[in-house]
Amino acid sequence: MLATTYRPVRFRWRYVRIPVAAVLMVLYFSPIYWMFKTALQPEHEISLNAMNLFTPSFTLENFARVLSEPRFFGWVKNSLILAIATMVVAVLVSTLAGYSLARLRFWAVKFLGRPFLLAYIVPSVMIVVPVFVTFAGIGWQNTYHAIIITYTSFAVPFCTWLLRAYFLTLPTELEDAALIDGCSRLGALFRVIVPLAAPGMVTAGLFSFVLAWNEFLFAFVFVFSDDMRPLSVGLMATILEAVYGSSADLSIFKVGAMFALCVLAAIPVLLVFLFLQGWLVRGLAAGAVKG
Amino acid sequence: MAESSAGAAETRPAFRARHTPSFWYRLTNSEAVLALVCIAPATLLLLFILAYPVIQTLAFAFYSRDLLKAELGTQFVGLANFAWLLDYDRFWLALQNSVLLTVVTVFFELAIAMVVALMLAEPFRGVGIVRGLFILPWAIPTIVTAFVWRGLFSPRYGLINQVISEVGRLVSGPSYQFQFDWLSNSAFAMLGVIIVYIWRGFPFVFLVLLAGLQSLPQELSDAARIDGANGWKEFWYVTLPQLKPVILIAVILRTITVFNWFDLVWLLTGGGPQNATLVLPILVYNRAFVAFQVGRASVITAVMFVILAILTYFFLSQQRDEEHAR
Repeated sequence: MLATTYRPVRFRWRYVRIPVAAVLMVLYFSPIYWMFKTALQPEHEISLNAMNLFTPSFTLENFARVLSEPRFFGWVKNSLILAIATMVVAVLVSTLAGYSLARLRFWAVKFLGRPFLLAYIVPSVMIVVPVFVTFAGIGWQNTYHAIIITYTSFAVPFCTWLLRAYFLTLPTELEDAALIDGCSRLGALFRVIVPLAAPGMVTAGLFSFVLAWNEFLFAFVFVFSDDMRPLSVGLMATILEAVYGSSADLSIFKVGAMFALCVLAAIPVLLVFLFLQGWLVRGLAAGAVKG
Repeated sequence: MAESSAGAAETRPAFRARHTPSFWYRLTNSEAVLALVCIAPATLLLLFILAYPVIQTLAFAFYSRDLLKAELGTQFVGLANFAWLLDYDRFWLALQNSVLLTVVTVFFELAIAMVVALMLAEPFRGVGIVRGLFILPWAIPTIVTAFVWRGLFSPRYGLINQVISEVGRLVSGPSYQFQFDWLSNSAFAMLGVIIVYIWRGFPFVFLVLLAGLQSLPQELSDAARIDGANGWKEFWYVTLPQLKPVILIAVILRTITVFNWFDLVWLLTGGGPQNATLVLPILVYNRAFVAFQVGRASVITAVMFVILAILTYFFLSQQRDEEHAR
């Protein structure tokens, strides 16, 4: 009863916010809509410069052209390897570090934990060369583990900060109970804390996965062999060749097909985000509050 | 009775022996050791990938190293690179552009994300899908973002010109065709880059603010409303102060990311036209990978690093004041 009696202000706001949200959404999604629309449009319509906002003629020929390109599946496979490996390693490393910062009492750890977020003030353009030279020095050029280690180090500061904050919100009593029952500290971490921290873990994992899936500068510099390129580098090579190159004989280098390629590169992550957004909000909620 | 006391006397030494733990036992069960072991992988990664290159970069700022003149080698030049930087017009232009880009982008990201987060904080039917849709741009690879937006701004088949043409056709007949190359115009290029940056950076700020809003206690808002606060006053005096730590974190992370963001602006405009969108990361890239002057690229990086370090320290001290104030 009480909850409904003093809400007249909220009530009007509710009617305003839906049209406002609708207008914002139309503006915000026009690029994505346009990407999908162009990908579904026949090539001759695009090249004739006779495009309209709404195309009457849908076709899947652009997608067929991309899927008939054998290199595409190689790129997807390489991107999946890099993204999944980065996700697993980054979440594992950050879980341990976050647990250490949140629960284990030792002065040096507090000292180490503070500057973790400061890692982001390093401009990535400048560390490409020193990192590449270091890896080349130990013979790791053109390997996946060099890239995975690099991506992991980019994901770890944020994930550690997030997981530390999440662990802090969990009650210590559950962990104490596990310790009294004879569990080791690491056992308590993996059997009690980790299952409870699922939203935080999912958020950290998604963050690392997306970072690795979308990154291209380091992959572009680190990988030389064609069959090891991830999707982002393959996409860039295709677009650069299409825009600046003269190799028009390759059928994939058409505007419509490139948009189809863009759609295919974005779709896996788009789906994951749509389904897991509730977990993302819950995972960030703890981190956002604790700071 | 006597038996049991004898038993107790017998067990006491054994009891003591078990609780004088061996060195190995103390090592493997010490909280300090476990704390260090747990944090070691993350620390080593950051030292290896981030700290070492940063130290190297900061050191190179005092050396002259030109990869095209390898015979000169690496020479210590003291502050000569800094003196060069003070006279380098493009540096001041890039610094100006970077500050403008960062301030405008972060401000509008925060403002728009705050409006949207407030609208979507309370549940309604389908709220999950709407929230999910608003974070989609985060999931789109940078290269795709740049390519799609170049297409949107493009003179021939861009969506923006199409919309203007459609409106123009309604007004002045079916033959109307609007053609304008947005990103090649030095007056509009920066605005275009800012729009793309806001579009791409919005989801992260939105998620952080939404998470922050959802974890606020309801009691204070209820109390404010009982005291007669309207929606705006409730937001300004109750919600916003409580959100301050969250906003600070969002501002820190976004300022750092936008200031250092290289790939998106490089793919969108490459710093052109006529240096209208030349920002510091592009200047570093041009010095290091086009002109191969590592020393001079390092000195620009060092300046960026110092600017961000001061800003971050300032923001973090604000946050610490907040914590003390509570």
